[in-house]
Amino acid sequence: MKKGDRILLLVIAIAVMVGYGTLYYRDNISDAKATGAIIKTGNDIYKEIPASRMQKDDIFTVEIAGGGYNTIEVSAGRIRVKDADCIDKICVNTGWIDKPGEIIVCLPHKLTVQIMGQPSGVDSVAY
Amino acid sequence: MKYKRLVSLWLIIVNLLLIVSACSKEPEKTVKTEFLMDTLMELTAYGPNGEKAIDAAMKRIKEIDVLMSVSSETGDVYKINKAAGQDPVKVSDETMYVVQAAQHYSQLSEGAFDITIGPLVSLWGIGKKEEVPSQAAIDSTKALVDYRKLRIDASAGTIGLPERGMSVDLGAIAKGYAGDEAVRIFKEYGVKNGIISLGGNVVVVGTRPDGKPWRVGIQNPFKPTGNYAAVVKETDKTVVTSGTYERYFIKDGKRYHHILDPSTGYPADNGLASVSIIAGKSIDADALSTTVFLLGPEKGMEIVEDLPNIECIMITNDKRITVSSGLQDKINITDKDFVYEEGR
Repeated sequence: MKKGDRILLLVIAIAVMVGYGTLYYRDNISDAKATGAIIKTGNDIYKEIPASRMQKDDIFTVEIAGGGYNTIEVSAGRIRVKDADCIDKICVNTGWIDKPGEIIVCLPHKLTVQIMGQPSGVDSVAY
Repeated sequence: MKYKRLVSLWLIIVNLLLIVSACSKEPEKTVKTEFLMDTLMELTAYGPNGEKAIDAAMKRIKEIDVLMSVSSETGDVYKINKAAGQDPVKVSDETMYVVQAAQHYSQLSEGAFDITIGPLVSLWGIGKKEEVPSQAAIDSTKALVDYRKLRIDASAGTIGLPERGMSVDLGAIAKGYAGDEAVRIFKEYGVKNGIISLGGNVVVVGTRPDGKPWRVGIQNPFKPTGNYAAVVKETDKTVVTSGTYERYFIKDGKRYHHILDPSTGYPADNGLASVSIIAGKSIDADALSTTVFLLGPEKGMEIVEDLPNIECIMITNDKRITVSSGLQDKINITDKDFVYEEGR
């Protein structure tokens, strides 16, 4: 075997391992691990917070197009609606979320705050 | 040397093929969300036609929303309610179908579920205002609720309310119909696997792409949406939950939720936190989840046991779970906070 062949083999071997690793991760680990969060207003994405930023304390206010606001707080890998001027306050009452599949819905403001990723162990939740 | 090289090359090729096949084992997945019918819709379809199927289903849901919401002025329900006390009005075939189904469950439950609940719904305005109406207002409004007065003429295609102030409300059934229509459209487009979630009304189409049944979680009524207390495995079925946590307001420490009891005029207060119904058709599951909730733990379970191919999961405020006989060996209680009560 020539030197070039060995390098080629090594590269391919690494590619194969990365490939398998990715597959294993996707099938076995990714759906159970907390990821980032996504905030939507109506059908539009307002903001995506990657997993790496979820540990950083942050607080910001989403102005709703038809009037109103929802104040979002991020802390220690969790996210919540800290305050809102919607009528029912269900979004505020929901409290902190941090697991994939968890979602805060503010129906009056058509706002959702969702932890990215599939909930582990189920394909959907009837609520 | 040459032989060794061939072997390693061969191994590499096999490995690569394995990876490619593993990657492609799951067909293309499309997910779209939209706020419709006053709630959050999430449609998931697998396969090449997924996107087209979802777009067509969303369009259909919008049409149903207009026809059956109490507030859209061009819709049938708005017209029926506006003409209360006057002549019956002509409605579309699909409104007739849904009204007849709602009337069926009103009769079956002897008014525990009442299609003419409209006046109480607007008096409380849960989700729009936060006050407890006066007893006098509740009493006078309650008197306007009576499904037996609804006039349905199927051959003429007309529906009428005899008294001014009466109104029909399809809020506890229209999403179920929309779910059935979404399934019909998915199948028209050749979608064999998918999940339709209309504000938590789940309809599973076919199996998962890997051929296994879908795993549907039953919402834990005491935790944020997405946390489940139990899991059922289903194929081509619908799971609809009615719970006190969905829409409510809290006043002086008391929770007032959206499941209104026509007999008292107040939100149902019978110890139940949620009722989930599993059925073949979502229109049945939607109406039954409210009906069974309002009938309460005992009568509600009785009615479920009498109906073919309908199963039920009840969760009480004190965290007990009871299920209908057909589910006893099938349900998996995943949250240890809950106590499973076997058999009744």
